[in-house]
Formats: sequence, structure tokens, C-alpha cells
Amino acid sequence: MSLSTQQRTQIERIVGGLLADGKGIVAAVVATTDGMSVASQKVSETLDESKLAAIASSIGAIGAVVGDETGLGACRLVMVQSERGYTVIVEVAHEKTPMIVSIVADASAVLGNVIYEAREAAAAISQLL
Amino acid sequence: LSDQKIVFTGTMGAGKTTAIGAISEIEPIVTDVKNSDPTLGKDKTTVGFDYGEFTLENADKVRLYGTPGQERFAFMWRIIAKGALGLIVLIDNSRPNPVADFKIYLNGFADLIGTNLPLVVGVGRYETHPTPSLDTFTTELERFNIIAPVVAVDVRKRSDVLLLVNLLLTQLENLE
Repeated sequence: MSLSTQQRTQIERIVGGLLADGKGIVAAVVATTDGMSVASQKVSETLDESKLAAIASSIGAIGAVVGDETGLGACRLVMVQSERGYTVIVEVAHEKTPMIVSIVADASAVLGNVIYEAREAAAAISQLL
Repeated sequence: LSDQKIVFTGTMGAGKTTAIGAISEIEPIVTDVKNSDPTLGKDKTTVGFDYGEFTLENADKVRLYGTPGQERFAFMWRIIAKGALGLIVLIDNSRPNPVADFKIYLNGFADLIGTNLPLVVGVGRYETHPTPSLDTFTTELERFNIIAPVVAVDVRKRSDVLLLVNLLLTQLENLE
């Protein structure tokens, strides 16, 4: 994958911004669509960002298949609501370097805000690619 | 057994998606995305699962699942392997260390293989890359206390994929 140092720095800044600004956001990972972490930040020590990158890749791909099979079109977002929070996965549409943004938020987060932040981050990343 | 599930796993680029496509009666479901690993020399790679269907002579339906190859998707291996009746491991013999590749899957599916799950090994690109030999894989299987057929295959050929499936089903019948 061909990301310049500058692009990486910018992506890292976007990831940092997610944790700084988004209430309840405890982790954010930007990865290639085939599951390799590009940039990540987390509050929790127990979360494995490489694993989350690979899992987001699989879930994103399965989301795409769901859209195809149901005839509803491309997958915009996958959200998993767990007992104590949410994981939101959004694709960064880009022909040459498609990526995925995953955000993990605890129960203090407002789901709508997390989705908004994820989409904004994905849009910002697709601009700089 | 009216509904059987067979899982194709093995090295990235060994042809899991191709194998399922070669025998599936439905348009296979594929979850491949752009590959960003330059060492793999592939445009696309499976990150979720492949799915196809195949009907046996006795009208039983076989569900064919393919796993992602890379070890970072090992969590997907466990999900896909649930309820599987047999495992087909595909190896690409043109890679630097096919036996090391092979061990990744033997270890990754150890829980399943330990329950006497039937296994078949298909070695690809064997004609152009005859080393390591098929016997080398058999010896490796013995180290894991597994007895399973090892055959050279070209998974682009429907007949070769059917051979793998038939070898697997034969083992299943012997178990019953």
C-alpha cells in the first residue's frame, strides 16, 4: 500500500481527533479494506487494534454482500450494539486505496454522534487519499 | 445427513475462491476486497467468506464455505468452521515454504481436526513446483496424528475439485 508519510500523519491526526472530540469514543482504527491497520488510538489497554482491523474488514465485506444480495446497494455502515457500547464501521470509498474506519464507543456515547463522527472521518480521509 | 457443510481453507492465493467457483451450482457469494499486501501478488483477497452450493448424486445438498487465507483472519476460521463436516486444505506449492504454510492451518483448525473431522489436502502448482513432495505433507500430517489423503490439484479444473470433495465424502461414509 502506498501512503505517503504526510498522508499517514494526517490520518493519525483524524484518528486522534475522534478520541479527543467524540464523547464516549474509546478506540478508533483506520485500516485497509483487507484488514491491515494504518492508524489507531485507544483508551482501553485490552483492545487489540490489529485484530479489530481484521474483524472490521470481514464485517465490512459481509455488509457489502448483504447489500448485494438484498438488492439494497452498497453498504454504508455496519453497527454492532453490544451490552456496553457500540462499534461502528464505515467504509472510506476510494478506488485506489479503499479503507475502513472503525470506532468503538462505550455506553456514554450517543449513537447518532458516533455515526456522524465516523462518516466525517471517512469523508476527511477519502479527501486526502 | 441432508445438509452438509464443507470448508475450504489454506494459503492465500491457493485457490479457495476458485475451487468453490469451479463446482458451485449457484453464483458463489464472495467477499473479496483489494489486496494491499504487495508480497502476495494478487489483486483481490477474501476477507469474509466464500459460499457456494453443490448437489450430490443422492440429492443431498453440500454447502461450500471458503475462509480467508491470512492468519490475521483466524477468528473467521473459527466462525466458518462451526458445524463443518469436513475440511479441505489447499496449499500453494510455489510459495517459499509450503510446509510452514500447511502447519498454520493444522494448528489453526486443531480443535476441529482433533474431533476426527475428515480432512483432505490439495497441493496446487505441483507440476511446476514438485518440491516439497506430497509425501512431505503426509509426514507432516503424521506428526499431528492425522491420516488424510494428499493430492496434487489444479483447482481451476472442476474434476480436480470434485476429487477433493469425493475424497472427503468417502472419509465421512467410512466414519458412519
